[in-house]
Amino acid sequence: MSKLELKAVSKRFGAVEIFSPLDLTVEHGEFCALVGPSGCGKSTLLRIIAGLEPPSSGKVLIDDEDVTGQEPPDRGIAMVFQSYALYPHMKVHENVGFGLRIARRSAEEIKSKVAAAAQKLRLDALLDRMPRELSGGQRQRVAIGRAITRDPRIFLLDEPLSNLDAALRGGMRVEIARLRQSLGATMIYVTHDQVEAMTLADRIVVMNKGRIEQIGAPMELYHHPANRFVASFIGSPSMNFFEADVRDGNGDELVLRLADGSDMVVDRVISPVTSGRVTLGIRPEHVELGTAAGTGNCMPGTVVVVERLGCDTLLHIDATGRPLVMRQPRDLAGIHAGERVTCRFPAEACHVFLN
Amino acid sequence: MRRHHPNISRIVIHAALFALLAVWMIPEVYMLSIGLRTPDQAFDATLMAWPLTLDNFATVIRDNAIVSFFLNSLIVTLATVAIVVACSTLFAFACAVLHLRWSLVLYATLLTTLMVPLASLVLPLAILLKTFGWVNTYAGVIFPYAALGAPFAVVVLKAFMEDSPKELFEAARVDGCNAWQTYWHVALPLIRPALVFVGIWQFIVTWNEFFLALIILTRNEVKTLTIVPMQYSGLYMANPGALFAVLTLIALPLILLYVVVQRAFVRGLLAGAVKG
Repeated sequence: MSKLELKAVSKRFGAVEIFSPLDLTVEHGEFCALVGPSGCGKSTLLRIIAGLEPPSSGKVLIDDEDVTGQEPPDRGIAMVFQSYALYPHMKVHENVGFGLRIARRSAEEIKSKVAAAAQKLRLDALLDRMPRELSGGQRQRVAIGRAITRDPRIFLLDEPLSNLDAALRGGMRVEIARLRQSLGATMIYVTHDQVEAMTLADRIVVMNKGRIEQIGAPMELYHHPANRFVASFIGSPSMNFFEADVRDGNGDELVLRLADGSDMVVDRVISPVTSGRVTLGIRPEHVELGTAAGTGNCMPGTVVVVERLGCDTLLHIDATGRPLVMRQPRDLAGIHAGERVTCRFPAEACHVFLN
Repeated sequence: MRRHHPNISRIVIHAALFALLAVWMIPEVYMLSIGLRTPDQAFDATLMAWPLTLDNFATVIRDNAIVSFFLNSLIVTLATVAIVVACSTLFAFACAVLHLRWSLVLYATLLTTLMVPLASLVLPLAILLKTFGWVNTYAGVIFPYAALGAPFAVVVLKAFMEDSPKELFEAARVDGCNAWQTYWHVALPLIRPALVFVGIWQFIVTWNEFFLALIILTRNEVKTLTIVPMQYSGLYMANPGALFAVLTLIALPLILLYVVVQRAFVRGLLAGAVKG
């Protein structure tokens, strides 16, 4: 277990700035997820932490030791690559024990550590196979096995599940969570999949266009997104947004006027805005469904598509020209496309973001 | 009826290929045929002449220290292949993986040597080798052959290394490999098909080289096989039977080598052409 600190780390490739100076601390034993859309700089940041890429400025500290100029093995890190990066000419046990072999460990130690990793990752039966003889999930487990045999101070995982199909991804997610519990190691996990970040991480760093938008625990980001980008990135389906003007921002509640002239009352505790042009946001699971015309905080609409997911139902609604998604934890067998509905926005569930 | 179509087309394709092969093989068959003729039949305008005789082969082996020439050829060829493969892989690694400063400038400079014909280099080379005292030594041909063969090998090997997944080299770095270990444990095994191709190609080119060997190797102790045919083809004298017998003997090791490694050779030629 180790602590990682990034101090004013920035990266440029020529004239292109990948990210401006940023600070980040990952505590001992913490599982930190870096999330963001493609090209936001999260993988580059991970490569800087790994020592595969030098920062343009700033420092990387591991356990208060400046490792900025050190090579990857000297930093005590292990990395799992997106493409697995298994050596195709080596058998599984050679792949897993390669780092130890290079470190000139004894044959007995290599054998015992490979066996321990294989047992932990259920690779025992695959040790004599070549990587080409393995499935995607098995290859991923070998890649993780290669990382854990070296007893690293910090694990770096670069989109390790993105090459797997949906079913395997779910299984491997549980696998990584279990591994994390058994190792108790500091882990930094890069992903563009917010579900992976939400389910695995202690803390999530949301990045966009080379900036950190927000850092926080998964549910903190979910309930209190700092801006519209974080609100749209965290949660699936994404939050619904409506442009609005603050009509009355002086009371205990905020009154917003939407483009269609209707008013929405929003709890001021979670929306500390008092005036100006704003964006009203509400998560699909917080929108309430009514069939009769409502009175306050209601928006009429027509059901366009009904997606029945089993436990949940997603309603795609045309709310007087604006798209709205609603998630209901019911079968909703009686609702069909074309039906007129009323969507109610509870005041305490609405978010307001400055434009 | 439809089920028979593939068989018919296969027969037609194979027949066409055999016809092409037959045309292609005429020079080889003619070479062997003249080597097996008596002096009277040597210039007969037929592909095969009867009866066959091994006298020409006996003459060639009796008149020359064939085993010694063969060994000289083998030493020169293997040493050249070893130097070309070692230097080219290291240089390709420096360019494609380590991205060493100025390596691409050196690479571009190296490429220009591909465009220089050997004939234009022979005189300066001969003077240089004489200065070094390398005339009539193995080194006198091995190093020039290696220098002339390396650029082509570098082009092939660099392309292969650039096609290899970058993450594998990064994974090696994370696993603690230094540059040499990355080269040895990761890069070389990854480009094995290209190494086989480059090795065989260089073997063929070096084994068959005649011009430089003729000028540099004048003493019998260091002569290579390719110089031997000169004895049987002069301005006022010719012994075509012996000439073609020795040419057959020179070609034989290459043909055998190709038969043994043809799969690897073709794989090396095609690797990288199609994404797996």
